[in-house]
Amino acid sequence: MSIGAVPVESTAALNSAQAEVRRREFLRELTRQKAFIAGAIIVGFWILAAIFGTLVVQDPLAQNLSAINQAPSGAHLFGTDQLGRDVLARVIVGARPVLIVAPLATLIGTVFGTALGLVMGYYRGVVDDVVGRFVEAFLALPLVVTGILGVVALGSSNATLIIVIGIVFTPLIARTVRAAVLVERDLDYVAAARLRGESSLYIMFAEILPNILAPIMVEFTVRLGYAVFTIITLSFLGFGLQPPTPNWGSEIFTNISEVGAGYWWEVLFDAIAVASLVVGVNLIANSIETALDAS
Amino acid sequence: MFLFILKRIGLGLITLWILSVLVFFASQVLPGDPARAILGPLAAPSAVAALSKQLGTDKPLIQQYWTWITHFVTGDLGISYQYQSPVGPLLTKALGHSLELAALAFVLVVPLGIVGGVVAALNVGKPLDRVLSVFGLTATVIPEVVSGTVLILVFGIWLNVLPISATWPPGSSLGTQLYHLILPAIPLTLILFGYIEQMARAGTVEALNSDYARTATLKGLPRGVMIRRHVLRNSLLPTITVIATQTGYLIGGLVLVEVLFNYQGIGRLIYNAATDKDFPMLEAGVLVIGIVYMVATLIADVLYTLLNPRIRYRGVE
Repeated sequence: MSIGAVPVESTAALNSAQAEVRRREFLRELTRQKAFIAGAIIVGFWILAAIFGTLVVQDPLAQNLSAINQAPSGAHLFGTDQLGRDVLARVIVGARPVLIVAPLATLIGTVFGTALGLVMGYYRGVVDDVVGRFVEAFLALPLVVTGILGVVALGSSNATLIIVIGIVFTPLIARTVRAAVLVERDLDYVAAARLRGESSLYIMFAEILPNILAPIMVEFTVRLGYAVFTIITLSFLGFGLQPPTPNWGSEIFTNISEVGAGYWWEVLFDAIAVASLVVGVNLIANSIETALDAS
Repeated sequence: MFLFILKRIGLGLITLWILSVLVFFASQVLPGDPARAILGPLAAPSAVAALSKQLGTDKPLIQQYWTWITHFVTGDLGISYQYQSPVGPLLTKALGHSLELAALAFVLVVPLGIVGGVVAALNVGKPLDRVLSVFGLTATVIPEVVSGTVLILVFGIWLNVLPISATWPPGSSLGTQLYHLILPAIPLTLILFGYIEQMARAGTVEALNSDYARTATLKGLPRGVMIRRHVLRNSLLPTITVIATQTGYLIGGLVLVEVLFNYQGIGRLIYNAATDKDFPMLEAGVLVIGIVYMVATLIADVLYTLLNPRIRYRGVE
């Protein structure tokens, strides 16, 4: 996708026209895929559940100690938990914290990772080497372990979770962006901008950035899936989303000790909810990647 | 070649040093005062101050770091607040348990992943390839919390054929130990399967489409011989690197799996240390995980160079 041969003064106009065509082509490729439709339906369902869930279901916090550990029935489609709370309501409402924290965390990681990657790839040299070592150090730890360390250091709250996952994603995304910048920085349009006397900041953010949006978008959706994965895992371990608002990870942790008594509905529906959301996000991520390759 | 390995070790050491600083300062920025955490909220300030002095937590951070890291290098990992005994032996024992679980997961997943990938590649575009790819991708993205929970329900409760606790009775034979580890090993296996399968598939597809594979076919080699001698040798090389880089994910998965299945490995140790604010244990445990990861990737890089004579490393990217 080199526009190097284009005369310097017309790049902007041509860029936007080209971008418009490519965007339409990309959207057509994307919506043609069954995987994308499936992923969009699943994720769309959970977004609706997160926004309107409380209006539809019973009160997820209402306890009924005379009806604890009830198997699924007409009154409680997914049964009740050890405090007699409606499991269906808790599963539906449990979508909300995940769907707030995961996108915000991923957004933070993408913004900072993109900035860092641009700087690393554009300047190379010492900056690249030094930051690269830090990236390596971060990558030597599994996401969950870094997450635990971060939550222990900053105290557990949803804001901490967003910051910690954002910080962990930053070097990962920076690495991808850096690789993309390394390809772009030697192209003619960058040299042209330099000859025009543009500042480095302008070249990085106004010239290079628009041309590497595709890999950044793929990275964002892939990371979003990892964010959900990490949030659920950390919440299960007690380092993630905080009660009393129900969330899938803590629900499984609290109720897994009950399955020995046969109360399978108290964990299975939460597990299915997690699986469906993660698979939905990844279906969308894969479709975006395929559509970008095709268009 | 020798220089390459030396350079890799050097860079690895620098990375480990940065990691140790990150880990140390992350756990010292903590809001809680270690002495206060041990003695509880009701203890007298004088007692807290005395314990701080004893633990060395009243000294400047830089000095604390220096004391910690110089002792760490000589094998003295400090005293666990929670167990009131040296961290080293506790950590070694837990690491042994984790390695046993990880080894079982690897033994299961490496052959399965490679065979799956090669079979998919030999049937490119056919339904079998699709089924394997969809299964692999799905298994890779589903958190261990989910697969572990479902496995506990199906095999531990409904069918009641496998133990849901990974902790075996004391003095168990290796067979009994492995029997207890089957269920916990499966979630780890599922996560890794997709990666290895995709890598083996991509490598095999590429090798099948190569000029040397076509030449081998055209000179009349039977397909089986061609695949064994020409395709697999080239296609499995990148898979080795992937397998090693997956150790990181594997250890991350260990934390969850060990908590879910109640297994005394390093993941559970770190989890407990974090819950109980047992900083010496937490710091040492996390650093040991970093070391394990660095060693594994180093071995992978060296293996890759040794097995692939075409590569001559001039620099390290």
